[in-house]
Amino acid sequence: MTRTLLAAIGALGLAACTDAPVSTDLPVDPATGLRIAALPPVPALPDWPDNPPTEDKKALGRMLFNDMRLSGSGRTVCGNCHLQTTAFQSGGPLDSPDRSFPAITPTLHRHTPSLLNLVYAPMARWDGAHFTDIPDLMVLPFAEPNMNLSKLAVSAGDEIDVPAAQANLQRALTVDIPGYAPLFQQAFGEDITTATPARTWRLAGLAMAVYIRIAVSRDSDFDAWNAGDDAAISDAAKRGAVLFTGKAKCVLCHSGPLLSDFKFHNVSTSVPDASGQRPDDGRFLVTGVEEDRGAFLTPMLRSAARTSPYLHDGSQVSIAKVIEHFTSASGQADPLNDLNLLEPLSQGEIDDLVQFIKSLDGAPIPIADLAPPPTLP
Amino acid sequence: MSLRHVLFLACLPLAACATDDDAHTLTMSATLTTNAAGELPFLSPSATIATHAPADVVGKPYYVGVFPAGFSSGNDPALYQEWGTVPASLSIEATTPAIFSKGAYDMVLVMYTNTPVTPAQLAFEQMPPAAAGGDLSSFTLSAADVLPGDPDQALGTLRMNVADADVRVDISNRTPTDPADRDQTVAAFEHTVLIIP
Ligand code: HEC
Ligand code: HEC
Repeated sequence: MTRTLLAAIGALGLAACTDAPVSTDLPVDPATGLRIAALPPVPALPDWPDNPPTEDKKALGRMLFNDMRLSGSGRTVCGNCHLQTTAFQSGGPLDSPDRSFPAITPTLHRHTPSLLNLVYAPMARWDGAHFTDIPDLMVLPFAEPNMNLSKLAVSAGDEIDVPAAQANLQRALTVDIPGYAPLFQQAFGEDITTATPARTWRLAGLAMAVYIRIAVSRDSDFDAWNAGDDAAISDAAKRGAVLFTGKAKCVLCHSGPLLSDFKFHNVSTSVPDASGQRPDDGRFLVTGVEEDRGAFLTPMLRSAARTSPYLHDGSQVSIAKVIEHFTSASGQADPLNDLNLLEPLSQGEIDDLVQFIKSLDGAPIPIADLAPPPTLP
Repeated sequence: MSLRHVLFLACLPLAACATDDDAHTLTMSATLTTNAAGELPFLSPSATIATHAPADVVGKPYYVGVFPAGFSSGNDPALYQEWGTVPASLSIEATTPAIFSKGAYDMVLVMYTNTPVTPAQLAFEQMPPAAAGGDLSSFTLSAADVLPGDPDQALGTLRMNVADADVRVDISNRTPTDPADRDQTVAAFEHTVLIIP
């Protein structure tokens, strides 16, 4: 299906771009107020009528995100892998489960993604597993080896024991740390000491969703240029933006305000060996559809210059290397790859694309509200 | 084996490559000390303490890099970088040539105690590997050295502000004597050598 989509977009004329020097002198279209309408600014935060954001929920979510006592080992917090100061990712390729020490092997099998702009994501996780909504996504790690060592043996596609994790969290939040119940009462008007474990679990997710909601990368220099400010980005970044949406065809998958189509593509990052086995079957683990083997979710690219290393396995240190892979023979190494429309780029063009992606760094996030809280219950 | 088996200078056409009298050196010195049990203790990001035997660290490659302040890790080239080997004395002192003019820089030290480093990486043909579980990195928690208006320091780096003199920073494997003491623990995260979990 993705192939058909790509072919269709290619036929629209993107494929017709030539090697002529890139003009960066794009006019602002009065209709959109933008030079490149395919990459609009990040919209306002969505309303959450079912979970209206409040200061109490945000403060509670901040505590849950940063409280070691809630982890299996008692030594891990979400912020150990999703560091507030580094775009909510860890900076390492594959983190140890529970991120405690001595280093635990095997490591997690997937690279820790940034949580910036999660609030906008209609799909998440490298293979889309377990995606229902953001509150569920935020509490789920308590059932995974990330936060709970009892699930150490888990590998891609394994089932996780959510009811057991719900019971653990319920006990931690009501019995072990009695100070949480009043905070849940204040935030949600519900008594978690009498609630079911599933309900407490949900409330914890709702609070953490309100916390992560404000971790947004927006108002980048690129957005300023795109809206008309000529001096906002370098000429190289301008050339990169034009390439990205033109000749280089990145926008086929990295489109829209967040630079992702939120679909799954095979970009030859988990190539089958001689026996046909892939190190990670990606989306196939969720759908069971053969065509989905080796396909991963297109990552959002805002603030990507802050989130090295890259890809689902953290195997590339630089953006330039990712692009080299996409646009060379290695990008087509997987028979199921979706990259066949991409053509080789010169080193200069790759550098321009990197400068463009760097210009997508957002304005500072409200770190005072996101950093570990001064006190815990 | 000599302390610095490779030395490389990536001097780009930037202000940082001044060669006049206004250009200064940056020095990072790291000293690792053992505890009573003869092991090297390190803080992990979650404030737990983990140890390496000295033999796990001695002889391993270390990387020192200087970058423009607020650089994009993995994507911006180093202004200066060198590889060395952790000596038996467990103390490293890396000094750049006098090429840094007034301004802010980020300096990082990584000891690759676990992650293998390839010959191509040692030869600067490829980026150094991302540090991973068990490796050791320079770290400071506070942004005290970030001057107003300057970008944040990147993870694992120390901010070096060049005014009119050479700049030196000393780090060591600091750990709290009483891990339950929050103030001590926070203090130990300053100018420290962190173990990556
Ligand atoms: C030990 C490291 C680690 C810890 C601790 C951890 N995570 Fe993660 N997180 C990961 C990894 C790895 C993934 C990618 C999983 C995948 O896609 O298969 C991930 C994915 C996510 C995602 C999906 C993001 C996306 O864009 O796909 C969310 C949300 C998330 N984590 C939130 C949390 C929260 C909340 C906590 C604490 C309750 C937490 N994580 C603890 C490593 C960690
Ligand atoms: C066919 C769809 C597709 C096209 C076209 C495409 N990408 Fe991607 N991109 C992906 C997918 C899928 C991934 C994640 C792959 C993985 O993790 O294994 C990815 C990953 C990336 C990453 C790493 C992001 C991260 O956080 O790990 C960067 C950077 C990137 N792409 C930039 C580009 C650029 C620049 C172009 C144009 C030359 C491009 N992409 C073209 C689908 C695409």
